[in-house]
Amino acid sequence: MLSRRRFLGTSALGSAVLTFGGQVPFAFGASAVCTRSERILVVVELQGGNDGLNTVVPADDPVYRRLRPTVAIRKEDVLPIDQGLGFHGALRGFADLLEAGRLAVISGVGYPDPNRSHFESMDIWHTCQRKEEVRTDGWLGRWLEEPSGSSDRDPRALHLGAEKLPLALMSRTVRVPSVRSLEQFRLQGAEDPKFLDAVQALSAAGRDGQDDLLSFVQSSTNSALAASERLVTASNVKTSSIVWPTTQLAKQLQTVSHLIRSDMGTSVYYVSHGGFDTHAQQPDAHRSLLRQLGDSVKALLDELQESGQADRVVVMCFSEFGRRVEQNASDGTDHGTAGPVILAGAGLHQGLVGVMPRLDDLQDGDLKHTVDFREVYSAVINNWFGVPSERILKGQWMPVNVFQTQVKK
Amino acid sequence: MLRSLRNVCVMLVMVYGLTVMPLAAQDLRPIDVVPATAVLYLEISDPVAVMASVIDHAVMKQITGLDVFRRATETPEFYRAIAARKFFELQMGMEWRAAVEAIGQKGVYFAVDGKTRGNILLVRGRDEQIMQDVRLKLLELTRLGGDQIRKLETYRDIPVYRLEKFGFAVVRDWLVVSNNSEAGKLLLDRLLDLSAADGESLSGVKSFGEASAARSAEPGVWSWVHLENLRALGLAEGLFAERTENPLAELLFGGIQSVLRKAQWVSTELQMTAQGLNLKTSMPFAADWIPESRQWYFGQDAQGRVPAVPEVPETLMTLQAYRGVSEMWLRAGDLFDEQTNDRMAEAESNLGTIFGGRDFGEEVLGAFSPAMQLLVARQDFSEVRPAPAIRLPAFALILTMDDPETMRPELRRTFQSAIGFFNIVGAQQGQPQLEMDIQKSDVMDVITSHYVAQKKDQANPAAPVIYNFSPTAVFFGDQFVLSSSESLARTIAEARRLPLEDAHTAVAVEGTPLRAVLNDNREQLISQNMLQKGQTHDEAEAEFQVILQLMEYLQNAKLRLVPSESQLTLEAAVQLQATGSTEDGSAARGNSDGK
Amino acid sequence: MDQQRGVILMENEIDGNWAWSSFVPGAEVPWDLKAAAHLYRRAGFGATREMLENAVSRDVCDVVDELLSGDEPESFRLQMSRLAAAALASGKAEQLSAWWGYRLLSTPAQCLEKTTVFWHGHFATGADKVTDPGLMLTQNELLRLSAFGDFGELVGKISRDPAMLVYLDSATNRKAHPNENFSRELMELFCLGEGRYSEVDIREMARCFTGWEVRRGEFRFNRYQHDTGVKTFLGETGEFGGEEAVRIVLKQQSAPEFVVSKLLRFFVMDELPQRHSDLIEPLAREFRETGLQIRPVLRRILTSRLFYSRYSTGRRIKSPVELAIGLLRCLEGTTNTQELSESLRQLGQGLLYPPSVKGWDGGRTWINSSTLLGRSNLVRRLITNQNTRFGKKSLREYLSDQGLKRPFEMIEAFEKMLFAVPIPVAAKERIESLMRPGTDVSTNEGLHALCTLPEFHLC
Repeated sequence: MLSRRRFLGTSALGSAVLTFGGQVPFAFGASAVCTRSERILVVVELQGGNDGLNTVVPADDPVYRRLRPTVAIRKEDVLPIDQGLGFHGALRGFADLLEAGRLAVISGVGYPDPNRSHFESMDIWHTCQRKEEVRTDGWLGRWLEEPSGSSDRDPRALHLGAEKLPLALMSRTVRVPSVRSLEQFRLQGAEDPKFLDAVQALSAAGRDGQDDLLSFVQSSTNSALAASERLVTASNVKTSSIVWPTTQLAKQLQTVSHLIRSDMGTSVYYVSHGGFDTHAQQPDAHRSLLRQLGDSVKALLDELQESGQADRVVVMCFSEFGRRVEQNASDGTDHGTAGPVILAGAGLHQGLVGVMPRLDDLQDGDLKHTVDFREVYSAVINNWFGVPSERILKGQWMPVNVFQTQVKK
Repeated sequence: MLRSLRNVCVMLVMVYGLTVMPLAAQDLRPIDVVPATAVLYLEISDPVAVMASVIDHAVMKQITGLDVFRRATETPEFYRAIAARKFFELQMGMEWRAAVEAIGQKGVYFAVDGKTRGNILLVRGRDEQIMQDVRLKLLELTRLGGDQIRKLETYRDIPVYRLEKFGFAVVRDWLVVSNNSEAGKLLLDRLLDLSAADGESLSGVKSFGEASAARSAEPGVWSWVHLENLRALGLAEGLFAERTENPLAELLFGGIQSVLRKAQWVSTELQMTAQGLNLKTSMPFAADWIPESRQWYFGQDAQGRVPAVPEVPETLMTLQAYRGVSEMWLRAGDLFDEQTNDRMAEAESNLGTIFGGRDFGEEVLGAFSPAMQLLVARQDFSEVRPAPAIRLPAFALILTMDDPETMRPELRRTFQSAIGFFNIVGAQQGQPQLEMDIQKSDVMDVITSHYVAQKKDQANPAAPVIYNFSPTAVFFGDQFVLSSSESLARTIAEARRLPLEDAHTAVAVEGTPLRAVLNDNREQLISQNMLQKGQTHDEAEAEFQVILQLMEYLQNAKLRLVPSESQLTLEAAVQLQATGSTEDGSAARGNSDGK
Repeated sequence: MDQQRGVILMENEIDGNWAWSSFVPGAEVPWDLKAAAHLYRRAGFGATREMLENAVSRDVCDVVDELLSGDEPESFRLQMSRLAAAALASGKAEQLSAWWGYRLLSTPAQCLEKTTVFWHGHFATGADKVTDPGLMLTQNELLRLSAFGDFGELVGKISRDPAMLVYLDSATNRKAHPNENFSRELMELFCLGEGRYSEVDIREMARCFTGWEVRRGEFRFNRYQHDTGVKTFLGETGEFGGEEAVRIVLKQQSAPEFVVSKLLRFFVMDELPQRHSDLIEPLAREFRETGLQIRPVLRRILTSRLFYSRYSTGRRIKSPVELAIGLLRCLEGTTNTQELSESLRQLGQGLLYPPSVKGWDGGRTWINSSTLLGRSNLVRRLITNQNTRFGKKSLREYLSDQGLKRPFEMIEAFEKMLFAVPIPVAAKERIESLMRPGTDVSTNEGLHALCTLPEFHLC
């Protein structure tokens, strides 16, 4: 297939037909949209240590009830999954996705010799390395260093938010931009059509000669202007029947949806959702956090489904650790170990994957992990992106069997 | 250029209209003319006096006489305005102030009619002579400007002119301007017929009468809004919403919102006196208008009053309020939407962590009575080591414990947990650690904490901002003081209390210490300005100097909310001082001269 | 020249002797406004029309020597250190980043500042990780002080610089567990380049730096933690300490080559010819012979034929800092440097915020669809920001004071100062038609349109 971009590159540079002043045959905007097929991963980082036991609840387990007299979720408030497990009642969005076969829960994800510091444990998840090692890049950053095979000029990964770039996206050679708002992808001044027309025509028009560096900048400029235009005009972007929640997380995922639907060539989007460090008065706070999570992820996937893009998107929600099985005296829970990772989107084995750690077989009061987080990453890298994961994960990790087919890209 | 001059003149002339000699003995008042359906009415009954109170004000004269003021105003816009004024003077054949005074001598009135949605401006001039003059000038300008102003029609032998969105006409000594022909015609009819109060004008509206009865005799600007009418017409719905959906707005204005939903009217009076500027807003009030869910705002029977202010040297701001914050927190379910409640639940969990697992709404906030205050005072850094480069004022929260015997040990432990929490977080971020100390005496318990200076900060004359803080809690009697600095906490505990004020909320800002705090941070603020505006040091310093000099005229500013049995009053006053020779001011000037 | 530019693709090889011989202005490459603008853009950030005209009236070498003198009046230095202290008082490194932006815009010694930016990228250290902005300032001052000096001395000081050690997780370095991070980066990134050492060299050298620590923001040598044993690396054996390790690394043949080729990529061309050893070798030799003195090698570069040739002009992509600071400096612009430094960070070149220890790769990595829009939007924000003034005036007033009133005059002036390659005539005409004479808005719009052209991004 002759991709739109390649067409752009050749026509803008090589063709003698294009000259200054005349009409530019290359069309910007909606008419030039082609539907992409590259696969996309949206990472939702739950900061502060999400209470996994109150997210995917072992409602029938007597140990759970006994150790959490005031913090446990009542059985009637649980949305059943299977095997005595169920979602927290606020996760209606997840339950709906599960029902539709678009969600998988991997239970008991963690790593050996767990660290209970937020920062350290998060760094371990991000880099797949311990403190003793030199950590200069993250797993997604290392994935970015793999040749993409695309001549695309769009950033391959984007971080949504104003905080510093997550270590997971750090690479020694590729820089991942942070996005605070869609405005960053819109050419300012473009609301004046005379200005926009001039800038587009002038950047696309042929140059004399063959300056390689200039050609590179020129084709990139054309890509950028086209991306900016698509953001406003792409037909996918204009129509949506989805009512988004108004929370911060929803706004960020809405931006992600907008970018995907305007055919941005980005493969990884990274957002964070903070506030899970619920040492005190947990129930109301956690309910609110989970509702925001479930509702926003559902809105994202529904909107993508509506625009026919859902087949190439997977959302992964993880947290640096779960919380202790036993609650504390302030109606809260303290830092623990393993927790569930939730994948939602296309191509998944619906339902529970992996083994739920036993509540009657604890280590120092904490769950023993049954799945290593690198086995989850391995599934994402090998099975979703179709790339060998050994270099990226700094070791051989068997993929968790969570994707339906071990597809190649 | 000519075009913009002309526009300015048209505007000036429009605002100050013109008149013929009174034809009838009966003198119409504007409130006899303005329709009863008005939702807003504003009057400046003595513009000459109002203008004099501003322009001839001693402080105003000093400010306009300042070098820095002159330099700051020497902009192209300023010169354009001067040119426009000259043009106006030329047209009117007299000095601008005399002209303005003559045109508006008997009052300027503005109203919005709820029925027609029309805006009405009435201007009553000195005599027919000058108004004729204005009318001629207006027509002349019309010719100069081509079709900008056009004669629309003649209504009952009165020529009516039209300029873009509104029309105007002159009747005797009245200039009538309106953007709605129906409203305009009504006014012209009344002026021409000399038909006074027939129950269809403002003078016959009961709630208008109530409001004007409470007016002061001083000249100024007075306005009245007919809330009842606004509500009936479904206008300004935002003003009458049942809930704020925003905890901060709720905390500040929640109760007032409930009053606005019931009160028939609200009036506002603005005056400039020799002492300064006064603003007073009043509306009817009844304690039983406040719904149960907002009882926390005004208290039982609206009896909630502010606590007494301690007399602390160099206080730059005090805020006293009666607010049942704990009750508000606990009633959040009734007051806010689900999303806000979710956010509060998350906040409660975090606050619970800081306060050692205590329930924030019930156990922390609930420990105090609703009368609370915040005090901000300049800090004395002569004893503070290391001295921070940014010199913040100290602040203190002063609360009254409901049950001191029980709460004292509880709060002490809560304070300790919080300090411990800060130390853990601080250690993770490489911040200095707080060291605690407890001193008990017969009259008070003092728990202090101080940042232990890190080695690199010990001799640093410009240490990090964190050294501004020495978080301290003091208990004495039923009082609990939580302060950012030990010295302020102690001063408050030992201070004499000023007499109680009859107010529900009161804010006061003092000019002199505020200026001193700015001056304490002189280099910081100048540097900030350099980075923010890209200016040179000299430019930034000059700008700082202007602010400092202008600040010298501010003596203090006060705001009070006072509920009485039948009225709710909000009073704001800015006191100005007409002297520029305080110690701080001269020191500041000395600095800049010596540079 | 312009006709030739069309057919240039980077040659495989450039003759070193030709390249480093002194530039002699002539018919082919005259010492004119274009050449002077190139010199200022590369050696610094850019020059005003007046400066360019003044430069052309003098000898090239004079102008280069003036740039390399690095002279800042004492009063300016004092004011900058006071401003830095005020920025530090907030405890926020972002403020210090804004301070550096202010300094870049206002220093009279722009070559010194440009070279300091180079060393910042070379010895990349990020304020995010260092957290104490005071340490960042100390390092920044060290880089500026040594920017034109002795490279060996600079490496020696950097290896004791607290910010660097914190950044490389070497704030503690114990005998029992030597931290290999610093010795790896010393060889790979600071002095030799990848492949010029073995893993054994790294491990052995790491032992030399044991006991080098940071305590309370200061470097200290902890002799109890220092491994005093015999180490063998890079062909030498002895009871070496850290100083000797640095000395041995700098003795390597590849050290001057590595540094010189990095200077070439920064000052002359993003992409070196495929076979470049002949090009590098004479300059590397000179660098070694002068005892790794930086100023002479910079002087050689800035007065060389290569520098003024078609191999150099337009052969780099402007970094965000070059783009923004250049735009402002050419037009005597001042602005809110807090917003400016924030924007630079978003575009990937936050001052004091390099993306990793590797610094900025530069060249084509600056460009993707998000950064290109960001660059264009930054230009617009800069021009229209209410705090941006050009010579204390609006852009239109500033140009008008210089007699530039008609759009085409403005465009010609912008092209001379801001563009390394010619703007197509048709583009100039189209943009001219967008600009109505005499309005601020359309002057700004015209400059923004010009700066969105692909040509603008070349340096």
